Amino acid sequence: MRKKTVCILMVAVMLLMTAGCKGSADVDAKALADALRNQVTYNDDLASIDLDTAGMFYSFGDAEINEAYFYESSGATAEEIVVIKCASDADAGKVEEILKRRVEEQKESFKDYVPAELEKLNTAIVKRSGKCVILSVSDEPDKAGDIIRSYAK
Amino acid sequence: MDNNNPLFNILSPSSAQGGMTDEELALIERRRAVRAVSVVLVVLCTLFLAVMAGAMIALWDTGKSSRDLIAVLNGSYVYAQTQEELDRIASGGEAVAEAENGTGQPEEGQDDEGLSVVNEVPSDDADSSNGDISDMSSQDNSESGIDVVEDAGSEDDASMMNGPKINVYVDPNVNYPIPFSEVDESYFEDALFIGDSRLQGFGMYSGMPGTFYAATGFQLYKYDSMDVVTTDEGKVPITQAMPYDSFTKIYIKVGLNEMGGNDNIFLSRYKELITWLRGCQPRAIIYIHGLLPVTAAKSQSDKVHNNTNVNARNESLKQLAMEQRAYYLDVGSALAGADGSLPAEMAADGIHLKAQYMDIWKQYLMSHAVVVE
Repeated sequence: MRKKTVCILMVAVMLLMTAGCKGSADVDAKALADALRNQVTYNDDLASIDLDTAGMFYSFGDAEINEAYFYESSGATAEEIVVIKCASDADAGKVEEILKRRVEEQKESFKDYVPAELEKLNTAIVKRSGKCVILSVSDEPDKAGDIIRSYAK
Repeated sequence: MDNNNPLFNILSPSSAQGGMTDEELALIERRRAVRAVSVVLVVLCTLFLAVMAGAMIALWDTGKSSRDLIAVLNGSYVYAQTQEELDRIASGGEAVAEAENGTGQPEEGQDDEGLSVVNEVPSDDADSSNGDISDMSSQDNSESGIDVVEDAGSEDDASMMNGPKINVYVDPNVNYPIPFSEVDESYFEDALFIGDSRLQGFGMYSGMPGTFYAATGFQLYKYDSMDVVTTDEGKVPITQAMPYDSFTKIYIKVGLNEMGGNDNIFLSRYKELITWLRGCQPRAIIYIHGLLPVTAAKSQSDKVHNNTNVNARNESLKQLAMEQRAYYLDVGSALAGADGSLPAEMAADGIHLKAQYMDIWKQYLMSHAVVVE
């Protein structure tokens, strides 16, 4: 009886773990990035860049990244979309910290340059869902938050 | 201390007579030790000075300077700022290295002193930058005791010879100004771009190779303190990130964020930046980007960032480029409309170029490149 209970518990735990992994793995990073790009209103034309180019202002160190989507402003605004899918939860944790740091660096850059952009940066969203990490800087943080929640539960 | 010890009696005869205390004896011994160390130090210093004097005399005899000696000792590069200086280093003041036009076809050789000069003329030609061994030639100056190697960039080629080497780079501005040529993208692989958010946008969207030290709000006045370059440890100022002798072209694009200030202070700081850059990138050709115009709407509504001020600053930058033997790039002329303003559709905020127009800028740079033969 006792062995049976232990086995049932172990199976339950494994199922829960699998379900957790499946939830984060299911985030469609590209679709989420495109939804943020197309459904939120931006003042600037955000254009796509690749991970190498993003190295101009992002250094992800040893974090292993499987997919990355960046939409960046021309420089006129702080508006930005980043969706990154990592190889592991630990990598996602590192990327989350890097995205948070990016927001702080942008605040520093814009505070004397275009102070009005600070409002967007103060309501910037950095969210981690399993192995997926999202950054959204826009004038519509509520709308962006809804979109993110619909893709990354 | 045992005063009956015969050795003690020899060393300290007076003590043997019972006239000195143990403290006095210890003091004497310490003085002797200090004296011995001093003698050794004096001998070593004398030897060092003799070696240095000999080396200096040898260099003077072959027409070289102490800088060349340092270059030999640490394997670094000697920066010949004029063709005459290059010739002096290469020939010991007698023979003339035909490095300027690259027509010399001397024979290989090794001098008695075993000194070799690697004369690397910065070349923007893609083939030669690969260090093709066929490009290598050397000149035997046995009289002056120096070998000159004209090499397009291969250390392996140079290492085929024995003996220490002096690596000489010619100032790329020896023949300033060199007319602009058209180049392909590979030209920019060892280029460094320094500038503000507009340049950062160019780096993001143009697909131009090269290294970008650019940031939103970058200001010339803060070039040595503002965190611009991304590293694993966070952002650092360009002065901290800059590697030595790694770029052969440097494009500087600053000036709009500094508008509204004193023009003389701006230019003075600009010169300071160029001087510093030349110190750490001695082979680099310096390009000074003119400011891009702003849109007509922006120009009319902004008391500072308007095209009148942009044009005035560009005139100063043109002058600065000539004074500094740098190359002024009038990129704005390629982007401006008939009225001299940036067309409204090109910039969301009237200043920053949208991604789809970056290619115009890129094509301008590719058709306005200096190629040092």
